[in-house]
Amino acid sequence: MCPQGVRSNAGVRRLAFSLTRIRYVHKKFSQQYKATIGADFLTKEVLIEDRLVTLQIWDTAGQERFQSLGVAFYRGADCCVLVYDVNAKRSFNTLGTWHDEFINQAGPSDPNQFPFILVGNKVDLDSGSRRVVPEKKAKDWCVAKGNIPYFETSAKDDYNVDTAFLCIAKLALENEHDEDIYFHSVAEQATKTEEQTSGCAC
Amino acid sequence: MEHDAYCMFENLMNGLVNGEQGVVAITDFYSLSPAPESSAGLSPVREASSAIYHLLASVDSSLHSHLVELGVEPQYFTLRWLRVLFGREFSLDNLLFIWDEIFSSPNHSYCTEIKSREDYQFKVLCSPRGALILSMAVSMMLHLRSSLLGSEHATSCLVRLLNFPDDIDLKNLIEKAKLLQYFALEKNLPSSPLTGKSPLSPTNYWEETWKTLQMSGDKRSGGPTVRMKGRGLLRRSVSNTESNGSRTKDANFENSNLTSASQSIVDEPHNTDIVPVNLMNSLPSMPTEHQKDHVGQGTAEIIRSTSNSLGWLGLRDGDYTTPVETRNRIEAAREYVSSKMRPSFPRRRNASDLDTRNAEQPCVSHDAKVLNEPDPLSVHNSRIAEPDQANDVVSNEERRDVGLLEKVIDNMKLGLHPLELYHQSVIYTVPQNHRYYYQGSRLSEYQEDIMPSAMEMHGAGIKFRTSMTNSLVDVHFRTTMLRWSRVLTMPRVTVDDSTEYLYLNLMAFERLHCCFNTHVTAYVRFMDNLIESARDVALLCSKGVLKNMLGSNQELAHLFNGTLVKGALMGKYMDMDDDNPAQPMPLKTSAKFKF
Repeated sequence: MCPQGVRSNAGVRRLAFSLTRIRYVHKKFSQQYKATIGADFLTKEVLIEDRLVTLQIWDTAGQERFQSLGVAFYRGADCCVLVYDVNAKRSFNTLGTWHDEFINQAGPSDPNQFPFILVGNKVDLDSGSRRVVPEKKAKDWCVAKGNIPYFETSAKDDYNVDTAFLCIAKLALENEHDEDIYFHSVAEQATKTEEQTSGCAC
Repeated sequence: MEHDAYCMFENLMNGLVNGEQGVVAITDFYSLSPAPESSAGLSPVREASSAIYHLLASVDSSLHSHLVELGVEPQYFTLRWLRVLFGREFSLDNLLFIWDEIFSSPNHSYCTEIKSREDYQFKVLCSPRGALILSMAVSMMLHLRSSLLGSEHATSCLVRLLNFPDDIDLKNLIEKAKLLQYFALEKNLPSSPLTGKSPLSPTNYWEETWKTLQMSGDKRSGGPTVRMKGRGLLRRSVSNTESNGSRTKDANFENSNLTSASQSIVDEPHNTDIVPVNLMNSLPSMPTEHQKDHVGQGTAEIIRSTSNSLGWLGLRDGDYTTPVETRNRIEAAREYVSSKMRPSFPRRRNASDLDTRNAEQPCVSHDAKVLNEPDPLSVHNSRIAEPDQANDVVSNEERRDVGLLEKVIDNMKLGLHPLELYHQSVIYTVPQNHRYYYQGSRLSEYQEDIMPSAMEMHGAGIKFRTSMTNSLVDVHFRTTMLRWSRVLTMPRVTVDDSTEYLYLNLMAFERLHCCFNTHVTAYVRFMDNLIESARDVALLCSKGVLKNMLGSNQELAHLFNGTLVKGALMGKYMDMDDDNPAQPMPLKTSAKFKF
């Protein structure tokens, strides 16, 4: 068991949506936010069951491809967050590619158990009238990928963002508990959380 | 108008220069396919990123190894830096200055006749523009040096790198980049026909080292006279370093080198006595914010000089075989580049000349102080007795370097008492048309050359450890095994109510008995420099170097800064025994220069 206190290595790496992330970390939302070029990095501390967990969020731009950042970027992640735009069909369709590519690059010891989270963002847009990916479809996708948690968020309205990140942190932490208690011999890799962004350009 | 703008943009993106293909094309930075020139099959932007680390490793190996150790790969941040040419990192006003520099650098390859992959290491470094872009990146990293070294996680490093501060000394940043640019061009020549034929002569080697130290603040502007002198002294320092202990004839110099503090230099050949000067001289008279970085730079230079002695780029991957070979290559590259490049870049050359001088200058004040501080009388005496052969200006300059005196006057007499000498110096009259007397600012610079405080050193990544013994002379400044950090070891000293009287008496004893050494005085002065405030005391206590039985940290700071150092001051000036070469002089009064 890890002692209580700051754990700065329960890293959540990379997250999807710049906007979601900015909203979450800085508690502000700006329409003029500049697009991510390459990658961006943030830290955020959250309190979970009296433990202060530092999330290290590594965010990659949607147009980025894996090879431009290198394998090391994905290694050691504790959780991968895929974010798509519920108003853009293409961003949903590419999720599968990102999922597989991440597994491929990060090479977790147990690909089936590696924690993923799916986030559908921009649900606020035009009160949902422009929405093209129904919630059902996204949830089906999650089930197919091994019951990964699904959240719908709005970075602009700050809807569900905290909940999603809290889940991410818990997931990472849970995994670590498991490992600490039961799977001592099992690899380090499985513990780590990584959030990873989907290819949504935001 | 729009048409022109578009054409310029297109040329920039495609790297066209007058219809010819240049080396740096911004579109390459977006390309995902491996560059044809890359041996590792990396995309151009990855190639450029590794070139940045390559350059960083050769100017600041400790920062480089720190980042590598944390797993901070260059492309994580350089992707953004390079793709928009630092457009995200600076405000538009600042950015325009940077772009001006970048776009005014030629983009053609300087090695037109050598096309093959073997003739350079990184394609992007083949043009002055590419070299400047990468140098700019390195310069930015060096600007963040201390905060990067203070970060223990990759993410926090990256957060810093991708949130470049707004309040920067842009001029300094660009200057540094331009100096590095020259260096980078040289570094890009892994081999040349001259390899192996140019045995590395120590003097050249160290001059080269000094040249690359140009990235030091460049704050001081030195006159040509200083430069002459600096060269001489530099050579002497070099020869001392190289021969590792075989001293020159200069008695004073020798004397000051024989201290036990400099014993560590002997123990550790990579520690040169030139090194501390940079640390010291890069510190003074900077605003607090910059000061930190300056400490960082100082350390950078220390570490650089250190790593230089063991062969540059020793830490790099398999690109290099042995340090010696690397050094030969570099040396060859240097000559090669200088023969090829200099005519076409007169401006660069001048700049580096100027800065060589600046880089050397710290040596002047340092050596002059070491020479003169122990015993101003004797030094002064010898100066008057044997007029300087070089020219009068130099000798005047040298006299001014005698740190103790307010002004040095021609025909100064030795007088009845050391005080009379000082007395003369404070009530001098100014001769007509003598420009040196009006350069008050230069004198004050020297006076500010003090050792950095404990907090500053800590901020620069220097670690504190207790020595093996409790002896007050057991003070050393060393590099750790892997050369990742520098460690200042000193004895663990308990300070209580009796310390004040004890030390005052010890110092009085040292002062009254001329044949005795002045170790306690030296230690007190050393601690006085190290401690500037209660925070320094707190730091030293937490490192176990001090044990405070006085009550408050404030009180202890006051003890060293106030009460004790007054006793030490007198000792410093009055100690007439320092030029007795038979006496070992560990630490001595100028302990502050000895690490």
